[in-house]
Amino acid sequence: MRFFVPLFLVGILFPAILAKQFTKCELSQLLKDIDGYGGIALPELICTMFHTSGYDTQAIVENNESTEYGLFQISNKLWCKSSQVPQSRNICDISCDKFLDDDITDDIMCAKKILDIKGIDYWLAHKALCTEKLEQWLCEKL
Amino acid sequence: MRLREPLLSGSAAMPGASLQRACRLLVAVCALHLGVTLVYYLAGRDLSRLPQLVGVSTPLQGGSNSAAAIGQSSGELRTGGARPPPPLGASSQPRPGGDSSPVVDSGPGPASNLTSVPVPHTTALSLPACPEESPLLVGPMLIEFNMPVDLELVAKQNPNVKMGGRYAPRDCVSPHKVAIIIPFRNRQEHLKYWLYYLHPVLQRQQLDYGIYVINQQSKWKEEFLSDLLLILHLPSLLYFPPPRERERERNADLTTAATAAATTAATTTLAGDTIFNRAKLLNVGFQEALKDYDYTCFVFSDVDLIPMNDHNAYRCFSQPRHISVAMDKFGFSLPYVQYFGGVSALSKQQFLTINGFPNNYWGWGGEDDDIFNRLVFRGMSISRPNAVVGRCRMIRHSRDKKNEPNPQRFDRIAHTKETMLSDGLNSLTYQVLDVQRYPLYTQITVDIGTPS
Repeated sequence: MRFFVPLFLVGILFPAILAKQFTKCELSQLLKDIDGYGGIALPELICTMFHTSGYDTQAIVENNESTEYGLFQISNKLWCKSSQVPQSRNICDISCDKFLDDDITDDIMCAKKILDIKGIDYWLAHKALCTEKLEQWLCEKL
Repeated sequence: MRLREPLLSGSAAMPGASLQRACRLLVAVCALHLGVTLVYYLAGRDLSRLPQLVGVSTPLQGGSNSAAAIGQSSGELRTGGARPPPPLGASSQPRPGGDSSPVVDSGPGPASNLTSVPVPHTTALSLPACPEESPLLVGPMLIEFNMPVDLELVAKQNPNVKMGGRYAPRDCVSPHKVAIIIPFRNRQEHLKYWLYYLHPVLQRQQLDYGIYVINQQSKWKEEFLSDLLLILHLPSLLYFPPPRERERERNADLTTAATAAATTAATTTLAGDTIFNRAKLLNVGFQEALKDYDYTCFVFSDVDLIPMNDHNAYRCFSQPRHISVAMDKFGFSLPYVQYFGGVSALSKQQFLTINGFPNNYWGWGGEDDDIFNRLVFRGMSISRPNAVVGRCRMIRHSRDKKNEPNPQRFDRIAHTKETMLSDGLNSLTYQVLDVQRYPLYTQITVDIGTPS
């Protein structure tokens, strides 16, 4: 009986851990190392990701010919590998499913490659909503 | 073989003659059935009569499976309560019976038997103006979504709300003539909570208001489904007994099973509908509400958002008003300063100044940002309550089908300045399929088309 209680707790905690929705400050903390990367200030990036995925690591949006994964909504058309697009160049050399978990270090690695190759305009939200009033995206606690 | 004899007139010794008579009987029955079907069809395609239709033919087809299946699927089609009257057709005529203002109605009298709105006899002159802030407000409210809601009970709890969801204060004249427009599709459970919580709040705020639920439905879905169901059960009728009894039973079972399967398949695929367009529905609501009454203020509310404080006024201000400023979904704060989604209020003049809302945002997202842009480009700013008064609860739900994130939304938002000139009220086309006056709201079912 004693054995089952911790097992039960782990059982209910496990799915809770997987569903990760960051706050603005949590994400700012995780991304502070790429502040300025590719000429993009951190608040611009935070703003862009809010409008892109709402900071939800499990965000997945299926379009006609491609699917976008995770917090950075990385597309399987070019950047990662999935069964939907077998001919993808898979520039980030990773399975797209890896972008749906809690750990965003691989997402960040691929986002940097996107910034290198395509630039911030890969994320359409940036031009539409993140070019002004950027002070609101600063995290005061940092 | 013995069972066959009574059905076939004539003896088995002369198969030719009896077969001839059988064929004539078949043709006569089909003609009669088609005639009856045509009568019901022309009478308004009322699907709830279908089980009776099928039930009448049951002895001939020998299978009750299809009756049950069709009866069940026709029950799924109607989500509301009352049976719909024949559609009103063109949207340019003023709607009868909608006006219940204290001022004597000078418009067309109620010409149809669709509505039963009594015109009150009080005149405006004897009543004082309502106070600037209502003395009836209570402040913070507890909002929960864990209990079932019975709309009949809610109507009893709000006896002063008139048919169609109309109310005006009895003891004073309200300067706020508000039409509350709710874009809607397949969210009946949310609507029940909305009505349960909002009617008391709106009355305490002493508003002269009406509730308009704008229900998106494809015209083809409605017509096609009703025709499909009628047509589908015909073959099972046409199934006349072949020489072998066992073969007949097997084939009859197959036919009814096939009919049932096809019906359910048709219902589920067509129930998917066309892609949702929130802003266009709001445009329709603006236009249609104005046919009822001289509303001067329009509150646009998502069906799943409930205010937690009745000091959050559901009416218009000198600048466009954002009402849902602190949603629980966003941690009771504004997700971004340009956010204008959820619940907002525009006066008639503010709405006209921006050419209404965009019609070309299909799917989820972006239309509220477009509306924000429109207001800014016309020199307006957003007025908001503070984050305490502005607290709102959202009924949690999974993403709706046929309302996927719109991949074009960011591109469109970047071009509002140009598109607002040609995309809006001045380009709005739609077809009203049905208008229903329920005790607590008016539901306008409309076909707004598909992305062009």
